[in-house]
This record gives sequence, C-alpha cells and structure tokens, in this order.
Amino acid sequence: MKQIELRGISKAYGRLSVLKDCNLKAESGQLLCLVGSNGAGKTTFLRVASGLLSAEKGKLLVEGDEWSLKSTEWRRKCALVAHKTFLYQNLNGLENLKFFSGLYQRDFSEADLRKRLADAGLTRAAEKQVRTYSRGMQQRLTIARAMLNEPEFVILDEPFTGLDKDGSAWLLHTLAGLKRQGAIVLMTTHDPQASLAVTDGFVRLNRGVLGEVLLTKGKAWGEIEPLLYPVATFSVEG
Amino acid sequence: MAGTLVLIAFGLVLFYAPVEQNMGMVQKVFYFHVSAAWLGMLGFLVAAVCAVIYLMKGDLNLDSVAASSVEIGLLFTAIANFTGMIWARPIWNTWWTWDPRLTTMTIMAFTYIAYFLLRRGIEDPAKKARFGSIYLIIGFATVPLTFFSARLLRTIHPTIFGTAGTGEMAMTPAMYQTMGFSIFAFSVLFAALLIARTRLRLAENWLEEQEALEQDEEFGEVSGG
Amino acid sequence: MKNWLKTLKTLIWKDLLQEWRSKDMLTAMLAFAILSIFIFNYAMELDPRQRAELAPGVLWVVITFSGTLGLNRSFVAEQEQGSFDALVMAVPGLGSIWLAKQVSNFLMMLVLIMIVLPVYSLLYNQNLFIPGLILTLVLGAWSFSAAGTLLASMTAQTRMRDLLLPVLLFPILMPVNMAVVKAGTGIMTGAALVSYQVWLTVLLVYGIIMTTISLLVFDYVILE
Repeated sequence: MKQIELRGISKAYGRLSVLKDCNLKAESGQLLCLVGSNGAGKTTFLRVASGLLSAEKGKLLVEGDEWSLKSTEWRRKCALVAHKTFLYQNLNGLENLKFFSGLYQRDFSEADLRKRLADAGLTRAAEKQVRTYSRGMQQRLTIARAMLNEPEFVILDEPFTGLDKDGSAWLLHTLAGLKRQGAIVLMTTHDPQASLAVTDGFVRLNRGVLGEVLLTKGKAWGEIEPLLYPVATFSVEG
Repeated sequence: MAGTLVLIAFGLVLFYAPVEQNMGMVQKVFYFHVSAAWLGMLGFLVAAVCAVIYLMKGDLNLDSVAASSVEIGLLFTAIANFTGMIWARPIWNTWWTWDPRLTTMTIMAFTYIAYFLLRRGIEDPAKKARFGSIYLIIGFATVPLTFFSARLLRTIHPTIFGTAGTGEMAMTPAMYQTMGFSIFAFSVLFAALLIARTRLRLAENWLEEQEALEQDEEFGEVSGG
Repeated sequence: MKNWLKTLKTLIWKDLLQEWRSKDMLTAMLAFAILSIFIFNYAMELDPRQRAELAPGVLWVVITFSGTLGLNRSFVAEQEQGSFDALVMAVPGLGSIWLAKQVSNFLMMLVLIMIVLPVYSLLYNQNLFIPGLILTLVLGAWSFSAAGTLLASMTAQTRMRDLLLPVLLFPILMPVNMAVVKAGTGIMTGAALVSYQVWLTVLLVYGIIMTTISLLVFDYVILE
C-alpha cells in the first residue's frame, strides 16, 4: 500500500460538528503525529479512519482507488491501539495472541507466538493471566496483538501511556520497524517531542479542522514547537 | 378537528347506539374500550415501522416519531385496560382475568415501558435510537406468538360477533356504525396526538443540541472528546 | 464458509475459556438457583401430585431468574476492555460474534439445568429425569439465551446494565414461559403428546425467529 488519502471526512453529532472536511495524505513508511487539544476530535478522527465509526461524508483512496472505510478488507489492513486494551483478562498472554490470530485466520504456531511475546519482553509472563499484568505489560501485549495481522495502516491513540522508559524505547523501536516494513503510521500523543526521532510529520487538529502536514525532516524541536502550538493561553512566568 | 370527531363519537355512543339487551348502559364503554385497544396496537405498529426504516436510513427524526408513537400507544393501552375493567366488574364480577387479549395487551404495555427505560439508560442520541429500534422490532415480532400462546391457554373474553342470548354480544347495524365511527375518530385523534407529541420531542432535542453547541463554543470542547 | 466456522470456533473457545477461568457466570447462577429451590420448599407444602404439576413452573422460574444473572455477566469482558472494537476490526461477519455468545450462553444454561434437575429431584423426592421434560427445558434454554444474548449485548452498553436486562427480557420471553410450563406440566402429568406438542412447536418457532432476527440485527448493536 504505497499511499492513502482521506478526503473530506466530516462527522457531526446532530448539529454539533466534530470533524469538518478533514483531508490527509500519507505515504508508505511515513509516521504522522496528530496533535491537538483535548476534545479537538483526535480520537474521533482515528476511529473514523480505522472504519469503526461512520462519518457523514468522506472518502478513502488507496493508491487512487476508492475503498469503503467500513469494509472488512480495510479494517483488516488497519491495526488499532487505543485507550482500552482489548485484552481478555482471564486468558494468559499466549492465549490472547492465539485468539486474535485465530480471528485473523492466521495459523501461527505456538513457537511463533512465543517469539512475538519475547520481542515484546513478555516471555516470563506468557502463561500468566493478563489480569496479573501491570499497565505497561498490558500495553506491550496489546501492541503485539495489533501487529499480528501485519497491518499496513497502524493507528495508535496515545500509545506511550503506561509505558516506562524501557517500554517507550521498545515502542519507538517497534514503530521504526513498522516504518521500514512500509506501513503507514498515524499516532496521537501528549508528548510529541519524545517521539520526534521516528516522526516524519505533524498534523494539527483544531476544533475539528485538520491543518496541513508539517514535515519535520531535519528540523529541531525548537523550530517545530511554535508552529504546532501557536497560541499559548497560559504561561508560567509573571 | 380530532376533538370534534371524538365529541361526535361520544354523542353517537350515548344516544344513537341502542342499549344492549343483557349488559345495559355499561356496555357503551365498549366502544371506547375497543378503540383505545386499537390505538394501543396502532402505536406499536407505527413505532415498529419507524424502527425498521430508522435502521435502514438513520434519520433521527424517525426515532422521535417512534418514541412518541409508543408513548401514545401506552396511554391508550392503559385506557383500554381501565375501561375493560370498568366493564368487567359488573358483568363478570371480577377486576382481572387471564384472558388472551388482556394478557397480550398488558405484556405489550410492559414492553413499552421497558422501551422507555432502555432509552433512559443511554446518553448518545444515535445509540438510543438504534437500541430502541432494535428492541421495538424484537418486541413487535413476539407479539403474535404471545397472543397465540395466551389464546391457547384460556379464554373468557366475549367474542364480539356472536349471536344474542348466550352471554355474548350481538351487534346491530347501528352498533356497527357507532363502532366504526368511534374507531375512525380515535384514529384521527391518534394522528393528531402523534404530530403534536413528535413536534414537542423534536423541539426538546433541538434545545439539547443547542446547549451542546454553546458548550462547545465556550470551552472549545464537548464532553466525550 | 469455512472461515466463518473457524471464526465461530475461535470465539466460542475464548468465551468458554474465560468462563472456565473466572467462573463468574456459573457462580452467580448456581448460588441463586440452589437458594431459590430451598426457599420454594416453604411455598410448596403440597401433596405429591400437586407438586409434580407445579414442578415445571417452579423449575422454569428458577432457571430464568438465575439465567438472567448469568447473562448479565456475559458481555462484561467486552465492555470493560473495549474488545468489541477489536472484534469488529478482525471479524468479517459480525453475526458470528452473536452466535458464538449465544452458543456459549446456551451451554452455560445447559450446565445450570444439569445441576438444578438433580438438586430439585433430590430435595423434593421427585424424578425429573424424563426425556420430554429435558427436551422442553433445552428448547426453552435456547430461546431464552437467544433473546437474552441480544438484549444483554445492548444493556451492557447502558448505564443501568444489570437492572435493565430482566425488565427488557421478561415481556419478550412470555411465549417461552407459557410454552415451557404448559408442555412441562403436560409431560409431568402423563398427558398424551398430542395435547401439548403444540407448545413444543411454539418453542421451536420462537427459537428460530429470535435467532434469525438477532443475526440480522446484531450489526446495529456494535457498529456506530
């Protein structure tokens, strides 16, 4: 999947418009970071992009061809990591992965699944029930879960939540790996500076309106920050 | 106009229709009882149709129509039950019977009430409409079976169109006419009430949306992100 | 088709494993059921023949009330961990999600019946292991969980959850209640099959209608 385009995405709840004619183009191997204040509509946008939420208007174009956002084919190409973990608490790590891979009609061997768990740093917890996992461990497992179907479009809603330094480093490493494999990644985070190394561009969502993509190649955080947050309503000094 | 029609119906019932031989004056409640019961069913039918169309089209206004229809249907089911009881007491010497029509209408009333409780438990209007519609469809689908089962169980409800002198009721032409008119008048009443109630409901929804819009203006965000 | 079956199998395996580990549903159901059977004893100080006639009714009341407690727990995992989303992203025919839940809930009901029957028989000194009665209860259980699973999938997403399910379920379930009790009573009093077989037909028809509607309508329950 070389390129995708979301065109004219509009979502309203009654007369309240949450997304107003949003357009976004992304290319294979790109990681775009979606920023915006709370309630700007970021989560809504991600849910529409992954086909979970229906929008009043909007098209998806994959390499120029129109696809339905709500088709199973699109959904299976996407991977979603969101606030809730999607994991089954009474099953262990291995069983959770086995379950989700079964849904994707993938027949991974147990060795395969264990390797994935090992990659996520969860070898020792593989046979323990997920309800005994810490928040960070659950986050790692759900990310491993999301990768099962070799997704081409990866959507992450604040994925660094609950991850400690090691976990964050592992996630950055995983994201870099995804980019190398040619996936398109769309991410929201409260700390864009921390993932600057893997980010190719920023896009700002303000009151439902999506701005232009701001490419970050070669720019330092000092240059980028004022462009992202033009209006400071509160300041600490004086 | 609906009011006038109903008044005429009242007049007809009181003066035009003859007094039935076995049951006396009380029998006249019968016209309103049947009409009210008919409206109970009509309310459910209209709501179920709206529910199916809503699921296909997604127009929230339809949901308001459905909800209003159920409300009115519930009201008239209550009236039907009440008038039924007024009639039953002198005739059968009992307030309640486990007869099929009564049982089915009462179960329908429970379904109506459950429908409103379901709606109350959901904040999001689109979800409220979706789930409400699904419940209406299930409810409507079970009504025939409920009626059939209740009828199998037992019956002492008088069959209306029978011969005189056996504790059942015979209907003279004048009675048929009164009955027909009464049902017609009540149906018009239903339509009028439905329009009025739906308008009111749409206005309430509009007001709620307005408040949400103002909250968005003021804070730059709305609850639910 | 093969894929559909595989998906169904995976989903059912997950539900049964979850239940086996947590025993949430079973505990709730059994505790209530056994207590109720004890309590009913005081309401039923009758001669054996009358007890036999009343048995199906009492049994069914116990089963439906306990069943509701169990149903309440059936979508808890999906609701709390947001798994509906993950399932939607992966599963082509959403109806399979409903069917899998229906099958696992139905199996739970069967377990409940398998435990309640002997307990009841023991305490009331009455043989309830009559094939006709068991068939009736099994058909009733399928219909019960068909209606209940669909409704539970909705109530799990509302504010009042546990309280709402019985209110929504019982009016809808009336034909099933009547059919199970009448057929059961017919069987217990040794009446001829012909007199009560219509009730079994009612149960069958209800089960088919409810299953069909659920499969058609389930998309609207989890898609936004």
